[in-house]
Amino acid sequence: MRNMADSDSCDKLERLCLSAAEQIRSECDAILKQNNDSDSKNPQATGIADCGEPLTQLLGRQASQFIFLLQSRDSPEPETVSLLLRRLDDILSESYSHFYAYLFKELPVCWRQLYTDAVILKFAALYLFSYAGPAASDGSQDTTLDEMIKTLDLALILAGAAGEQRGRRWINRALDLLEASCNPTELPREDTPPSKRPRLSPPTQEMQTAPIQQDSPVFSTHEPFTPPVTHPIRRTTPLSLSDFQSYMDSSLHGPSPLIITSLASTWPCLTTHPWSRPSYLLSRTFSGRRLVPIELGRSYVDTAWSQRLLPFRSFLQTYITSPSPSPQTAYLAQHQLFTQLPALRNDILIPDYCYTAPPPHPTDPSADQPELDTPQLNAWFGPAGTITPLHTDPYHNLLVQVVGRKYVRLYSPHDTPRLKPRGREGGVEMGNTSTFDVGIVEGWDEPPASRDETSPAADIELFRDVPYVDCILEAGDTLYIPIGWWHYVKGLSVSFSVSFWWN
Amino acid sequence: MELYAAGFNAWGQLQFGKDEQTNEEPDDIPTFTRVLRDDNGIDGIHPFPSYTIVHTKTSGVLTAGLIPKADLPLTTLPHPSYSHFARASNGLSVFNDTHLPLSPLFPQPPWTPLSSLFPANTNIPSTVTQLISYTTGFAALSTFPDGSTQVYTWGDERYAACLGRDIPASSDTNGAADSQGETEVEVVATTPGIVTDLSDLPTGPITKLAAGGYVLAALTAGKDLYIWGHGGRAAAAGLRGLGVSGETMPIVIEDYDIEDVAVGEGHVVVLTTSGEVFVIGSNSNGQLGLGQEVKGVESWTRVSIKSEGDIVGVAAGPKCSFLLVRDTVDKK
Repeated sequence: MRNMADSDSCDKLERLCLSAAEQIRSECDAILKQNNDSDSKNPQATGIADCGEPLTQLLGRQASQFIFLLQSRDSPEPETVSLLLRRLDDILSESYSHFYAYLFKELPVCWRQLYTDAVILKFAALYLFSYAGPAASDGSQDTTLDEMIKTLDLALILAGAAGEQRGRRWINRALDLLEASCNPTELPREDTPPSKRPRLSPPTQEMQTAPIQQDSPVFSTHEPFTPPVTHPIRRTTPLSLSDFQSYMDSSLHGPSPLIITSLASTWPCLTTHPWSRPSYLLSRTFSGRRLVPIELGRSYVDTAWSQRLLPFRSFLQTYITSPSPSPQTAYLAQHQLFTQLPALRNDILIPDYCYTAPPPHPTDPSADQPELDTPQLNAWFGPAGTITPLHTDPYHNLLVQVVGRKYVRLYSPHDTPRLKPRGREGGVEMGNTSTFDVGIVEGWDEPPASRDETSPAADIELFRDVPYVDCILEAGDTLYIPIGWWHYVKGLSVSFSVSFWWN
Repeated sequence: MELYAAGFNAWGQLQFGKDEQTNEEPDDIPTFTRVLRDDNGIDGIHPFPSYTIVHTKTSGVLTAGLIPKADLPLTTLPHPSYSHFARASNGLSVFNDTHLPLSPLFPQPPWTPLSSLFPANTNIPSTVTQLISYTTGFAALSTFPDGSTQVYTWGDERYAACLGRDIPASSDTNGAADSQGETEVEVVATTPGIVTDLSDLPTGPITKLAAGGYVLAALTAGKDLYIWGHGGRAAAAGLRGLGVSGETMPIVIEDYDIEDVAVGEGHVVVLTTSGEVFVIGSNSNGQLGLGQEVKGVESWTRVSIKSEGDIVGVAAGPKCSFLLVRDTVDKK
């Protein structure tokens, strides 16, 4: 049974579940009623209407069933709960199959909302009919708790938690209340403002003086391999906004890469909320229960490469902090982690440079994208040896190194033809990725056995002649990658970076 | 005749003659159970995601489950018409306008006339005897007056293995073909192209196509079964054991000849000429008829039913299966 201290969060969560079910029921009823009343399809039909009458009815029925079971005096029969959960899983599987049937950018949003609403009802049913609180002595409740968190994370990661009435807001609220109900004694989540004092000491010492978790271990700084830097990128202390704008506008051929030191060194992630400590990251991921998408394999162009969703704790223990080498490299790469975990978002700042007006693509106007409303943030977290193959992005990029060191090599967009971009492969556009593998050309990596094509030796010699610049990013460094610049990135130690795309 | 069914039943699509409105949430049917009987015979079983249409000799058209309002006119079509329209799960729908009228039944969009997918100077659409869909595309069986057949496929290039044929490599699309000996012109994924591997088989022309999920199947006049599809998506749906690829693969089940085949989203049902039923794939909703405990099977598994009659046909919805049984009354 739940104890007294956390009953407030439990009551709030129960009310949140009930009101979501009531909303879903009334939305489904409205869609079905409209469907029966008028012959012409209402162009304003929203939500899950486009998933069709049968699925709308099925979801609405499960919402009704949930409300009925919650409001009846007796606790529900296990068979009744089981059928409710199975029907919700049926809806999840049906909506998820559409995620593959369509190109993601063409997927009608109704399928993402149907998935999200089924997740909300499934979470509600698990919480109210299967879960008896975090304190069960036999550990069985841990399994249900994991299942509830996984259910919500799937909606965040796979379906983008679509839906205006509930969606991401509902899921974040449910996760906060659930975590509060599990840790009634935890300190309030309000974050202390980041330290503004300038960096006086090397980052490692600074982290040791951080106010929390002073004695918990930090990630290993071991580097199995360190490539030589042969054409170093210019390094500078932070520029003013107008100086940065002038730097970007200074050349007709477009700006060059630039390292800005100490731009991020006062951010909470490098000071008071140290991402270099596994214990801190676990505390921000529901004790490591939150699910994260992981890429497995050497590089995304290899055939053996795959993606998996893992609890953060398993990812850390199996692939990052394990003393024995893991069979595969695992990389939390290009994931909008800060949308999924807003608590970590508070540990970083958006650099002011992201509010400048950068120049267009220097050679290919078709690469320019519609203007982003806000910079697009991605997290890149992995062990030593992660690789992002030579590729180019359609945005200007600030790559901020938070933990560990990464090697980056960049080629100018003016040399694009010499980098032999790939074409369409299996219906997927791969033109932003080079056919050349920097690590293999340089002899830093063994070519994978499964590799289906290798470049002829003559081509590789021509590739070696293409000019480039390179660097090793240290914690606190920020690399400006102008739009269109090809980049190859290799994690040298355990490494955590954040990229900011803007235009 | 009797109709047995097993599997997903969220809309009561396996229960004929039941009132639509009940407060009970209908549960799945985990073992093959008799759901219908017609002393004079059953002509056709047409499973849709949320409903089933059955054409019977005595009672005419019977339906079970929830028919979306937009689909109601389809229930007026005669039995043979169901071979001439198909809906994929990616928003694309095709109907064979050479067999079905350009009527309000098939508004465009979302329906595409089959003839618009072929060059104007060909009569191939009128030779198409069966048009079916899988999740991201279509297949058509074309039967010519001399008895020979061709199978055409088209669909999403990302799942090209479902096409069972070669498509032009991406680099070829812009330039001319560089190999001089090439006489076969490869057709792009989204345009109907011939599955040449099925054109000249040792056991004769194709008599039936079936598809579901990311798996397609073809039966020959000589009772052989060929299956192909996208291995990764098929495995994800529960059909790992089938080991499908873009190569059409003959299916061997002991020494049996194959009489009929049905393909669901993640399962396949096969009827042998001796009346045995074999199933493979996902049993998530009881669609294999193997009960509630079995989640699925990765090898061909025999199922039996409690009937003295002979099983003469099989059909499948996305997550359900049907067996058509000629019972002892029919035999007399």
